[in-house]
Amino acid sequence: MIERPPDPANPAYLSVVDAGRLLQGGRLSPIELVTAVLGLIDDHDASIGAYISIRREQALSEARIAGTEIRGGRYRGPLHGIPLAIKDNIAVAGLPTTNGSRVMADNVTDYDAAVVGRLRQAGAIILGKNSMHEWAMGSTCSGMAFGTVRNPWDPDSIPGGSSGGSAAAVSASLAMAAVGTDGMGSIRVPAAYCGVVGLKGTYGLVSRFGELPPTSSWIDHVGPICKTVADTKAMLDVLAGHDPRDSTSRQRPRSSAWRRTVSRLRGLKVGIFDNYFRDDLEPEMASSFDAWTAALEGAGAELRIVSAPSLGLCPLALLAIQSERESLLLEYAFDPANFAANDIRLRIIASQFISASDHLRALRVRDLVRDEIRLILDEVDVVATPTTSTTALKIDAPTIALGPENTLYDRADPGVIHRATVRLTWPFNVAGVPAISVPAGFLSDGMPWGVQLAAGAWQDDVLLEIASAVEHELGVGYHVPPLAEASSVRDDA
Amino acid sequence: MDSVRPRDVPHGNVDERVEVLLQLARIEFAGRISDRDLTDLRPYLTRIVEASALLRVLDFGNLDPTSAALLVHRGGPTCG
Repeated sequence: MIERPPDPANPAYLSVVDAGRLLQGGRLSPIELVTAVLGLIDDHDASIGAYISIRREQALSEARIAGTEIRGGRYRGPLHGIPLAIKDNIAVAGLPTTNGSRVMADNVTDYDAAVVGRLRQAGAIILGKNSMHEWAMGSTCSGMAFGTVRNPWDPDSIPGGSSGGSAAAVSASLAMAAVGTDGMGSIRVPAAYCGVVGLKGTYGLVSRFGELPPTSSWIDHVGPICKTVADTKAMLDVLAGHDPRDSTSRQRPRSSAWRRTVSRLRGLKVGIFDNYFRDDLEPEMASSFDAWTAALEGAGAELRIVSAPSLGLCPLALLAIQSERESLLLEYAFDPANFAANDIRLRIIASQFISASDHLRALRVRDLVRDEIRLILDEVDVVATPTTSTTALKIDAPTIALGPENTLYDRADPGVIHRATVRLTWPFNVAGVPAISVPAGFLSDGMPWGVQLAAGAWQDDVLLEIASAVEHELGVGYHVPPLAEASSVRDDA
Repeated sequence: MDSVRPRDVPHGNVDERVEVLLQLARIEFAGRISDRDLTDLRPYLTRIVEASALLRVLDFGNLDPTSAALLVHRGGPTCG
């Protein structure tokens, strides 16, 4: 249930699960729902910039078909008739898939990505493609080839990235849910900044077929961004599954052992790191996370202090990503006109000077970090961290304050944006374990912050159950941002 | 050899190695890369060289993870 929607009669503000119940029961039609969401897009996307392309007429046509199917007793499940959005590095047949790049502006595929195909099979309606950070190689979504994405909670702040358009769209109810990608935190960071839920599953759980390059062979994940944890589970149930077209896809059962051993949060073993994750927290984020862990303990959870000394080496493992991912784009990098973000272009050129031996050494660091995290997750049900060290950064801020002393760093320095945004999320990409960001409240700047929970490999359902318990018992959940509050129901359905 | 302390990490030749890489870039990408690009590449190459130095020390097992992590956190390589 969404608390305090600005217009309770507007179905666009519903969660996927709640809308699905109404659709199944015939109390809401897909055409009403799609029309309502398109209405909010018309009202607000000019100021948010969440979409690169919208398939309005096709979506309305598919909504009519879905309505006919549901009325005829052919209800396909919780996503039937639900309008969703897709990040623009995931192929949707007939639409451009730009990867946020001018180079790919005219790239129209004649096939769907695996996840899009699965969503269509489930009866979901694809509204369009979401803006993103260029080539998914950054986390601001500012000054991109197709514009700047703005945070629905503050138009002067970034939405995060690289799935920034997707998180902004879900936050502002411009989509009921969205599909993003996460190589270092690109689902969870924008989810935290925009006050929604973002999940990357176990590596291999969701097919990456149709996710366009550059993707790394060992860190990239496709996953859902939603208003609630229940919506996230509904989405993952459709997105997950073995796909022989993706060599990294795995056919393994998702464990749900937790529900048999723990009742809600009582007795839950939660690991809290004593290193790395606190280093850059701004003071209010640190105190808010401490208050959150105290509330978790008060709800019956057992906190365990854990330590992973190698986490600090994570930035070294980045070398392996850089040499693998960015080497794909060298030929484009020589022409500045191909790039909106010059730092990406320079990183691509610089990556040519990473030696093969350093690449291998970086992979060994990755293995070290991965093993430490996985060993910790053998001993606890989940680990909990803040998702980010700060709330969403201002779009034009020249400096970034990090750490207990609010030390200022020059935003233009290589690595500073990375450190400020994805530093707390990407260890779990390295580990390949499922991780989720859930809304945890608001700091004094009025911006949302998120808590990140991670569980052992293939414990995706366990993680979702725990996240659901956290959502309900520590109760913050999704709130409608102020940008969306001026809308009303359209009557042109 | 005991753990290498942060001050012992071989960073002394970082600038020289960056210069070598810039020369390589100038030759390998001649006609395709501007002087401005070469200037702007310097901080990115510096990060790579610093990371490479740390990785080599780590790989020989003579820098414990805590010391190395301290180096990374204190403004060492973050590689963008």
